[in-house]
Amino acid sequence: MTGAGLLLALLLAGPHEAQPAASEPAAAQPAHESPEAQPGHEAVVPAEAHPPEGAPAAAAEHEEDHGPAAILMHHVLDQEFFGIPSKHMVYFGLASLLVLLVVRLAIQGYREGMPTGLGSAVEALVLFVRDDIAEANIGHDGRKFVPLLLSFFFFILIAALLGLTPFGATSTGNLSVTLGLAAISFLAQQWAGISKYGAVKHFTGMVPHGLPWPLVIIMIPVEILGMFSKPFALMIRLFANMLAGHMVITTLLMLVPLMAAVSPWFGVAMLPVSLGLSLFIMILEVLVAFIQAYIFTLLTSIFIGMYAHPAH
Amino acid sequence: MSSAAITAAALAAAAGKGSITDIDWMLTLLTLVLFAVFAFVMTKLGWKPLLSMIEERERTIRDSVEGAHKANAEAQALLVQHKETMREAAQQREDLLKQAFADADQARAHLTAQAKAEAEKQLQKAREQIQREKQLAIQEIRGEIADLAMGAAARIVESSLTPEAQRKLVDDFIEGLPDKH
Repeated sequence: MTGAGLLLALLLAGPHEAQPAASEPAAAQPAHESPEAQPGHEAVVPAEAHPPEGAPAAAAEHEEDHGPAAILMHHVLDQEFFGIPSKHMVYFGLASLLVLLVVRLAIQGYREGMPTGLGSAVEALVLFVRDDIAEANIGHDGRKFVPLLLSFFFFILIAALLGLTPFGATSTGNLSVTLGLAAISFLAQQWAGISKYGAVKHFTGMVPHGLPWPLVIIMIPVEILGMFSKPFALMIRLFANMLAGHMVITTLLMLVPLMAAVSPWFGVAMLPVSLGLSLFIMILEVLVAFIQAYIFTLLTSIFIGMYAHPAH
Repeated sequence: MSSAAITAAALAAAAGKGSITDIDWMLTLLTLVLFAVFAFVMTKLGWKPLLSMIEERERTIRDSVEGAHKANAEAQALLVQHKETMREAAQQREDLLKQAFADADQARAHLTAQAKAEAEKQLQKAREQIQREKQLAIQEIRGEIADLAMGAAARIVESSLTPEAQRKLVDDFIEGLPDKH
């Protein structure tokens, strides 16, 4: 992805380098140069540019298409992918298949019940989810939720890591997708309570017993709010975390053309800084992928545990 | 300057066609269905077999550990039993030895006493025999002496010898007595 970012940065730098016929390597990409190159220059540095009277409208329109914000948006928003309307859905399916592949390979790596290679790594994560997430927070009932929690964990992890590959996309960086995931988490939470206590007792049990009736009146909407705010928080947290890293990396890489617009040498000077910082954020993103997979799974199991054991 | 431009443009973009916070309900529905299918397939093809293998191994390990504990306890019990047997055997051996020594002592004492008694008996018998033989010999000698004395007296009387002659006769007689043996 760093490669893609670099390419993007150089392409962006291209038009401005071409103008002064500078010696920067990016200038050797005239293919990108188009009749809109000049307005593009103005779009990148609107505060400095003083376009002619008739230009603002064209510049604004172009800003929407090729300006930094548009590029940033283009990078994080869903888009068409080889004729398929949603790239995020493609990567969603890819992540699912990858998880299936990894787990099947892990299973095949078992020799006489002992894991080898990939199996050891997968088993360590599986045991972690089973023992330290599911059983620790749900209790013994947690066993039946382990497959779902494992699916969440591995899917979110792989989807996030896929987003770090060149030309990749993070499907969980899309609010619609995280809404779907949160909805499944919500259903699992409710199912935990309903399957154990029955629908009536599950919903009435949410309000603690022995409260005076004025408090009960207050507690009912509070509990209903709480019921929905839990998955809502899951949805926003995962989405924002997945999105943030990508936006930061793209922004850091765009610093190169932005600085190059001021002076080509500024752009060159910015290259190592920009690449170094985005590499750092990229490594951080690997960590974030694990953390977010853990957080989503952990919180889902905590909420399931709350509905499975409402005695508090 | 640049960040201001980005923010402004981002806001413009957000207000326009695509925003990061837009919800595509179709996508959400698709996610719901696809993830449900994914979780189902993973459960059947991935998690269940994997978890069952892990649980199987855990069970094997648990059983092995339990078996080891049990075997250890059995070994301990056997050791205690073995020690007890050894102690008993030693005790038995000691008792047997004691008994054997006692028996031997007794047998020796018995035999010695028997031998002594036998010897005594033999000795007594021998003494009695000697005594008897002695008496017999004395009687025999006495008879012999009486006969000889009678003969000698007769001869003395017959020859009326002088005392010297008598003396000589007696001496001759005695001289003429056969040796004791």
